[in-house]
Amino acid sequence: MSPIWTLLLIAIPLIGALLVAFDSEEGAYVSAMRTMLFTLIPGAFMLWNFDFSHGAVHQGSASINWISDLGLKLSIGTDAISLLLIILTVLLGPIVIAASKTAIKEDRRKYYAWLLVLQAAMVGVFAARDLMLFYICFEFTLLPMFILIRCYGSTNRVAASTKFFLYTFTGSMMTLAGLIYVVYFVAQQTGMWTLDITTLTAIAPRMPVEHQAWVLFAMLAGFAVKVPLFPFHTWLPLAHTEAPTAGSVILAGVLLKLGTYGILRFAIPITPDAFIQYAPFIGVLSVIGIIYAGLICWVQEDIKKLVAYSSVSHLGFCVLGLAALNVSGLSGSVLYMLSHGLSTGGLFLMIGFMYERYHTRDMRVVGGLASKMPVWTFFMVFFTMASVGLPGLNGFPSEVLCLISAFQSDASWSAAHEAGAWGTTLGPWFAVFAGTGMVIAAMYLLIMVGKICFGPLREPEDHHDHEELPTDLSRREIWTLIPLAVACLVFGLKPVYLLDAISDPINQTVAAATSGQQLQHPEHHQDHALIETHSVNNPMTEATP
Amino acid sequence: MINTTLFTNLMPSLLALSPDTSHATAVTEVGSGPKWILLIIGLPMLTTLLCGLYAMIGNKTKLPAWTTVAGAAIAFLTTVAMYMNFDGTPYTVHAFDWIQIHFGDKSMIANFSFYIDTLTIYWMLFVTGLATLIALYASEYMSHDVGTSYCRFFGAFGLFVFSMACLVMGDNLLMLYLGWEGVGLCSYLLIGYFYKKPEAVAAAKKAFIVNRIGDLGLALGVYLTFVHFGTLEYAVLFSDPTLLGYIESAKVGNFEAIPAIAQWIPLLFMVGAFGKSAQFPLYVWLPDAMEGPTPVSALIHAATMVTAGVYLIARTYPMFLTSEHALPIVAWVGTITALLSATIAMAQFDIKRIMAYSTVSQLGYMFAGLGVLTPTGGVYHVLTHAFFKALLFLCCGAVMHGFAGQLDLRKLSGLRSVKGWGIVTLGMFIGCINLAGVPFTAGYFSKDTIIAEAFVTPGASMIGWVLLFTAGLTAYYTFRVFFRVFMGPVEYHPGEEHHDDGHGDESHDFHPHAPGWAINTVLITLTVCSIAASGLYLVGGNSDKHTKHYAETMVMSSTAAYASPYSEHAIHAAHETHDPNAGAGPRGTIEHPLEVPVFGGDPHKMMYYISAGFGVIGILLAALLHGPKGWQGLFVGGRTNAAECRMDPIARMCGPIPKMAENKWYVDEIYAYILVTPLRIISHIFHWIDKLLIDGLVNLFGFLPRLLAWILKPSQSGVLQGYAVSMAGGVTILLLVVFVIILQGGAA
Amino acid sequence: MTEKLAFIMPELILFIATCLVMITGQWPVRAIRNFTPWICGIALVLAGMVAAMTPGDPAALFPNIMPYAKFIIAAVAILLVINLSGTVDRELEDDVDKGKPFLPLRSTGAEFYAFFMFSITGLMLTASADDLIWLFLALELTSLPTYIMVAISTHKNASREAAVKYFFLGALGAAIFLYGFALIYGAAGSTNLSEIASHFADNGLGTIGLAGVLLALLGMSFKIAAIPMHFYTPDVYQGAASPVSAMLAFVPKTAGFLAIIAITATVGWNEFGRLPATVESMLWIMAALTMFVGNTLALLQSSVKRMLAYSSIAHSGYMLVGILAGPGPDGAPFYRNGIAAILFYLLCYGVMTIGVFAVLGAIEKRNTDGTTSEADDIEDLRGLCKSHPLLGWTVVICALSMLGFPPLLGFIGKLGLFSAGVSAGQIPIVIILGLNSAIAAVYYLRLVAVAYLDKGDKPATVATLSPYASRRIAGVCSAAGVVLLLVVAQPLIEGAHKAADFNAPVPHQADHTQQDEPAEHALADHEE
Repeated sequence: MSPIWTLLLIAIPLIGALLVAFDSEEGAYVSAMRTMLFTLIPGAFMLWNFDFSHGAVHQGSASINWISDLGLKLSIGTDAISLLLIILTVLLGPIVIAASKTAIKEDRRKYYAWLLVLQAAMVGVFAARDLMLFYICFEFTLLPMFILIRCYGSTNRVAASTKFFLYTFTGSMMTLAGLIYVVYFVAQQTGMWTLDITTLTAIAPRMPVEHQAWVLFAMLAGFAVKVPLFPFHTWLPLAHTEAPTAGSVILAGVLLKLGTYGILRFAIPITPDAFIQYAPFIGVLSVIGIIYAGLICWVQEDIKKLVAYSSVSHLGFCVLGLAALNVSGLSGSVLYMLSHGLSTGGLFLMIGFMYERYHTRDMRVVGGLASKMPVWTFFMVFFTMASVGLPGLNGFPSEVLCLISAFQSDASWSAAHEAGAWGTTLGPWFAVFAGTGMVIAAMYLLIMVGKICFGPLREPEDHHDHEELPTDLSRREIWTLIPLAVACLVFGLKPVYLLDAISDPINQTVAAATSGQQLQHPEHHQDHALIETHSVNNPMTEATP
Repeated sequence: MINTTLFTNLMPSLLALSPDTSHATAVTEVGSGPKWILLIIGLPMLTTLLCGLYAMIGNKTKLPAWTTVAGAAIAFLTTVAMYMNFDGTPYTVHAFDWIQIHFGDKSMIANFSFYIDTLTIYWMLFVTGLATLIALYASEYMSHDVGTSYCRFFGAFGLFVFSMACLVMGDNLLMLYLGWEGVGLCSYLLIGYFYKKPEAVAAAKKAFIVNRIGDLGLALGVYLTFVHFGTLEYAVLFSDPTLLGYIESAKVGNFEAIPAIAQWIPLLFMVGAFGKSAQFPLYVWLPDAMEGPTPVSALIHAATMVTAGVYLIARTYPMFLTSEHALPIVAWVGTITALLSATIAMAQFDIKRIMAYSTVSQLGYMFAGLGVLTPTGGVYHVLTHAFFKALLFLCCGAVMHGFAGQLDLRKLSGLRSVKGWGIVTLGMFIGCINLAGVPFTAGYFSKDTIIAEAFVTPGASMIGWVLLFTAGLTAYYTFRVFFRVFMGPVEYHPGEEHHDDGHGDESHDFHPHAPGWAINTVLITLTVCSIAASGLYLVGGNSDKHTKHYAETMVMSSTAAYASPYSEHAIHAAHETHDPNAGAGPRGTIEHPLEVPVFGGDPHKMMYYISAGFGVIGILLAALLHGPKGWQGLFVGGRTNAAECRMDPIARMCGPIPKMAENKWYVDEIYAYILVTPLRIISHIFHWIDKLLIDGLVNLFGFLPRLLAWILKPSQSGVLQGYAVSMAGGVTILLLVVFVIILQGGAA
Repeated sequence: MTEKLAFIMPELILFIATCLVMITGQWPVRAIRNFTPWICGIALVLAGMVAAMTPGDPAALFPNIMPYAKFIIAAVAILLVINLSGTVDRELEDDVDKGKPFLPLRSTGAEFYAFFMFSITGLMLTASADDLIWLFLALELTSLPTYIMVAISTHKNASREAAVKYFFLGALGAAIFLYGFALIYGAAGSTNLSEIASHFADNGLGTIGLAGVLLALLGMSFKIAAIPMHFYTPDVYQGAASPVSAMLAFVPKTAGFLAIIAITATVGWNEFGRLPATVESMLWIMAALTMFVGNTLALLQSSVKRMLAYSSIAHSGYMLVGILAGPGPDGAPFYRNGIAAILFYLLCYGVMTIGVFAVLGAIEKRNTDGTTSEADDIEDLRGLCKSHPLLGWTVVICALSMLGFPPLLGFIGKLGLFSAGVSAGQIPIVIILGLNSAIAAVYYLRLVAVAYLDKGDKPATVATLSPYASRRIAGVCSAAGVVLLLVVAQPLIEGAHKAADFNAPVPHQADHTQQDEPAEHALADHEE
C-alpha cells in the first residue's frame, strides 16, 4: 500500500480548509462537502490496497526527518486497527458536514474550515508512527474542537470550551512528560534518541516495573481524561451539551477514541507489566463509570446530556475490555471504538435535528414526537436500540466480547482454554457488575425514547414550524442518517469482517504485552526491523510486506 | 424460602437410570441440512422489509396484512416440509458467519446458522402456524387504522416471527440470545403500538426493562458457558466431554465434583427464563402488556414468546441436570407463580387481564413440569396452551373489537344470544374447557402429565397438591368469565372506544358489530386445533423409542431428553428396566415410585380422576356463584343481570382480600418501594455528587492558580520602596533556605 | 589582548554604527533622519554575519557560544529595530510636517537609537565575556541605556515612573551581583571565569565562593525577571511604549541568561550533570516559584502588557530548568543539553513575544479627547482577526506558540527543555513546568479567544492602525518566524547545540571530593 493515500487523506482536508476559508460565505458548505467527499477516494484506495493478511504490519510507511536532534520524524504508516479507525473518521466527515448545513447560520467559512482541519488532525493521530507526531496531532485536535464549541456552541459554550481545552491539555502535559521519559529510557538503552513508536514499544518494556507504573500513570493522565474514564469525565457532558451537533458527533465518534487508542497503542505496549499490575484498578474505575454514569443518565432532563453521560457509561465497557488485556477484550474494545461512534453519533444527530426544530433539549418541554415526526422517531428508536446493545446491531458484539473478556481474564474461571486467558485478572465480578450496565442502559434509553418519541405530543408554547426545514426529517437529513444506520447493521450482522481484520495486530499486542519480555517475539521484531529500514534508510518508500 | 434440600437426595436417584454416557460417542460433527430451510428465517424478515417499503410509499390498503400472512404461511409450509424430510438425526444449516475471534488455537464461533432437531421442529410448527392464523385475524382486527401504522404493526409482526425463529432454530446460544432480545424488542414495539396512550408506553417500557433483567442473567449464563466449556454451539456443547462428565457425577449425586461455575450457568439461564416467561418475581410485566392489540397478546404474550423460557430450559436441559438446585428452584417458582397468579385472576374483572394472569399461571405449570423432570409434560403443555390460550385471547379480542373496547365482565352478559356471536361463544367454550382441564381435552392431558410427575417425584408431592388446587382455581376463574360474559340475559354497554367507533354517536343505539369472516375462520381453525391437540397425547407413540405419544417422541429425541443428549441411549437404558413406560420420564425407572402410590393406585391413572374432580368442582362453583338462572348456569346459578352476582356478598365477607387480589397483591407497589424508588434516589445522589463533588474538585483545581494569584497580588503594590524591600527580603529568604540546606547537609 | 578584538568584531561594527546614528538621528534633513533605523538595521545585519563567522574562544568555558549567541541577538535585534521605529519624536515630526522648523534639541531620536545600539552592543559583549569585570561592564552597558529608553519612550508620566523604578531596582540588583562578583574574586583570586572554574574544580566552592555565586545569581535574577527580583517587570513593561517593552522582554533577559550560564559554568556540573546541592536547590526554588508567580499573576491581568510581563517572568522560570539540567557530560546530545535548550528557547521566546508587542504597538485607540494612545487593554484586541486579519492572526499564532501549542515554535523550544530536564533526572521540576504550561494556557487562550473567537457583547473599541507600517511588518515577520523557523529548526538547534558544548575545567588535583559535597566543606569553613 502506498503512503500517498494516507498523505492525501491528511493533505486534502488541509487544502480544502484553505479553499473554504477564502471561499464565499454561501459557497462554504458546498466546497467543504466537496472536499470531504474527495477524501473518500483515498480512503477507499487505502482500504482496497491494504493487505489484511499482514494486518499487524504497518503498511504504507513513509518518513521524513524533521528535527533529527530531537528525533522528530514525520513518519506515517497504518496497521489494520489504525486503518479502520481512519476509515471511520473519513466516513464521518461528510456526515457531519451534511448535518450542519442548516444548523450553522453565520461564520460558515470558519466553521467548515476548522472541521476540515480537525479531520486532517484526526487522520494524523491514527497514521502517526512517530511518537511526537502522534502527540502533535493528538494535541492539535483540541484547537479546532475548542473553536467549534467556543463559536458555535449554545448558551454555556465559553465555560464548556475552556474546560474541555484546559482539562485535556493539562492531562496531556503529563502524558508528554511520561512519553519523554520513555524516550529517554530507550535512548539510554540503545544510545539513540528515537521517537519511532515501534522501537520504543520494543525496548521500553525493559523498564523496571515501578518506573513503568509512573509512566503508566502519566500516560493515563492524558488518555483517561480523553476517554473519559470515571472520575475524569466531568468535562464531557458539558462539552457535548454545548457543542454543535457536528462537534458532538465527532467528539463521540472519534475524539473520545483517541484516549482508548492511546491506551491500546502506548500504555499497553510500553508499560505492559505495570498495566497488568494496575489493570484491576483501571477495571474498577471503568465498572464504576458504567454504573455510575448510567444511573446519572436516568435522572437527566436534558436529552443531550443524557446521551453524553451514556457515552461515559459505554466507554466504560471499552476500557474494561482493554483492562482485561486478552484477545477477546482487545477485540471487543477495538470493535467498541469503531461502533460506539455510529450509534451515539446517530443519537446526537437525531437530537440535533430535533433541536433545530424546537430549540430545546428539555424532555419536559418537548415530547411525543412520534405522531408528528414518524421518520425521525424510526431512526431515534433504531439508534437507541443500537446503543442499548440489541443483538444484530453494532453495540452487541463488542459488548459481548468485553464482558466475556472480563470472565476469561481470570484464568481460574476459564480453565477450558487458557489460550484465551492471557492477561490481567479481572475476574467474574467485573463482568457481573458491568453487565448490570446493560439493564441500566435499557432503562434510561427507553425512558428517554418513551418521553421524547411516544405519549401525547408536547411542544414548547412558542413553537412555530421551522422556516427552511420540513416538519419531519428532510431528504438531506435522512441521507445523513442512512450511512450510519447501514453501518450499524453491517457491524451488527458481520462483525466477523472487522474481527478478522484486527485479529492479527491484536493477537500480537496481547502476546507481546503478556509475554513479559518483548524480544522473544521474532515476528514482532522482524516487522519492526522492516519499518526501521524503511523509515531510516530510504525515506518516502513504501513498506509492502 | 424455597426448600431445595428435599430434592438433593432425589437428583441422583433420578439420574441413576440415565445411561452411562461415558461410552457415548460424542457427535461433534453434525451434518448440514438443505438451504431452503432458511426460508423460515428469511420470509418473515422479507415481509418486514416489504411492510417498511409499503409505509414509505404510503400504502393505504391491507396489502401488508396479506404479505405477512403469505410469508408466515409459506414459512409454516416450509416447516412442515422440514418436518417431513427429517430423518431423526439433528443437523445444522449455515446462513453466514457472525461473530468469530481466534486466539491461539482456540476460537469463539457464533454463526448465523440453525440447529434442527425434533424440539426445534415441534416448536417451529406451532409458532409459524399460529403466526399465520393470527396474522389473518389481525388483518381484520387492525383494519381501523389501515395506513402507516398498519404497516408498522405487520412490520413488527414479521420481525417477531423472524426473531422467534432465530431463538428457536439458532444453533448457538448467542443466536438464541439474538432471538431472545429480538422478540423482546418486538413485544416492546407492539405493546407500545398505541403510542399515544401513556399506559401503553409505560407498559412497553416495563416489559422491556423487566425482560432486560432476565436477559442479563441469560447473557451472563451464555458468557460463562463459553468461558467454561469453550463453545457456544449446541452440537459441540451437548456432546462436550466435560459436560457429560458432570452429568456422570451428578448421577451419583456428588455435586462437589462439578465446579461452581458449571452449577451457576443453569441458575443464570433460569433467571433469563423467568424474565421472558413471566415467572415470579419477574411476572409483573405480562399483565400490563395487555395494553397492546389483542392479536399481539394472543401471539406474543400467550402462545409463543412467553414460552421461550420453557424452550430455553428444555434446550439446555443437560446443563440443568448438572446443578444441584436449579431444577428444584424452577419447580417451586413455577408452582408459586401458578398459584399466585391464579388467585389474582380470580379477582380481576377485565377479561383480557384474567386471561393474562391465567397465562402466567399456566406458564407456572410448564416450569413446574420442567422442574419435576418431565420436559415432556412442560413442552406438551406449551403446545396445548398455545392453541387454547390463543383461542381464548382471540375471542376476548373479538368481544373487545365488537363492543368498542369493552372488557369488563360486569358490563357484558349473554353474548351467546347476540346475533353473529355463535362462533365466538363456541370458541370461548372450547378454550375454557381446555383451560379448566375438563376431561379428555388437550389441556386436561397436558396438565395431568405435569401433576402426576410431581406426585411420583420423591419430595415433590407438595408441588403436586398445590398444582391440583390451582387447577381447581383455574376452572373457577375460567368459567366465571364464560358464565358471566357469554351466558345469561343479554346486556352490554359499549367501551370507551365507542365514540370514535363510527356506529352511532350515543351509546343507547349502540350496535355491536359481529366479527367478520377472517376472525371467524381463525376462531374455527383454532377451535379445531385446540380439540385436535389432545390427539397428540393419544397417538404418535414410537415403539422403538418407547415413547407413549407424539409430544413425548418429539421431546425425548431432542436435547431436552432429561438424561442426556443421547436420548436413544436413555431409551435403551430404560428399556432394560422392562418398563413399558420407560423413557417417558423417571417414573417407571426409579426403583421405588410404584411403592409410593397416590390414593393406592398408579398416580398417573389416579390423576385423571382427581384433577378432573378438581376441575368439575371449580366449574360448578363458578356456575353457582356467577352462572345465570336455568340451564345456562347449570341450574345452580342465579344471576339476573350483568352487574351483580352471588359472588359479591361473599367477596364483601372476605373483607380486603379480594381487593388485594384485584390489586395483584400489590406486587408492583412493593417493587416500586423496595427497588425503583431507592435506585432513583441513588441516581439523584450520584447526579449531585457528580455536579458538586467531582466536578467541584475539578473546578477547585482550576481555581487554585487564581487563588494563588490573589494571594500574590498585594506583592505587586506598585510602590518602589515596597519592591526594593521585597526584593531584598526575597534574596535574604532564599539565602536562608540555602543555609538551612547546608546545615542539613552537614547534619547528614 | 589583541586577539580578543577578533571576538568583538560585531560589537565594534555596532559601535561604529552607534556613532553614526548619533549624528544622523538629529540631522535636519528628514530623509537622513528617517534613514537612522536603516543604519541600525544594516549594522545589525553586518554584525550578525560577522558574528556567524567569528571563531570561538577555545579558552572559554563555552568555546562556541559567541557566534551563535551573537547571531541570534543580531537577528532578533533586527526585528526589534523594525519595531522600534516611530516610538519617539512623533509630535516633533508632526510639527515639522505642519511646517515648523526641526529643533534638534527637542528631538530624542538620536539618543534613542544610539542607546538601543549600545544596549545591543552590551548584550553581544555579555555573550563574549570571559572575565567578571567584562561581564559586569557588559551587563551594565546592556541595562543602563534601557533605563533611559523607557523614560523617553513616551511622554506619559507612567513611563518616567517606570524608568525610575527600573533604574533604582536595577541598581539594587546590580549591587547585589557585583557584591557576588567581589566575593567570587575573593574566593578564587582571579576574575577570569575559566580560572575561577578550575579553581573551584580544584578546591571546591567554599563558603565565600558559594555566597558569591549565590548572590551573583540572585542579582542576575533581576535581568531575567525571575524570583526574587521580578517585581518591577509588570510596571515597567506597562509604563514603557510597547516597542520598548518588547526590547525589555528580550535584551536584558538574554543578557541575564548568558551571565547566569557563565557564572553557573564556573561552579560546574558534576559527572551526574548536577550542580552543587546548594546552588541547585536555590535555582530549583527560583525556577519553580518564578513559573508559578508569573503564570498565576498573569491570570488576573486585563492589560495585555502586564500579562506579557508576567508571561516573560514565567518563561524565565521555564528556562531556568535548562540551567538545572546543565550541558550534560562531554558531547552530550542536544536532548540532554539544557544550555543548548536555553539558547534555542531564547530565540523562540524573542520571536514570539516581539510578535504580540508589535501588534500592540501597531494598533492604537482614539481617546475621547482626540489624542491616540497605544492599545493595552485586552478589549482593544477584540475581533482583531476581523478588523485587521494579519495582526489578528499574528496575535493568535504567537499566543498559541507561547502557550506551547504543538507544532508551533514554542512547543519545539519547550520540548528541548522537557527532554533536557527529564534526561538530567530533574523530573519534578519538569512536571511543574508541564503544570505551568497548563496554567498559562488560560491567559494565552484568552488572547486567542479575544482576537479570533469571541464576538463580545459590546462593540469592540475601534482600534486604528498606527501610522508606522514597520511595526505591522515586525509583527507579521515574527508570526511568520514562529511558523517558518519550524522548517529550519534543525540547523538552529544544531547551532545551539554546538554553542552549548561545555569544556568542563579539568581539576589539577587527583582528589576533588569536596566538589561533590561543597555543603560539608562550607560547613567546615564555618566552624573555623
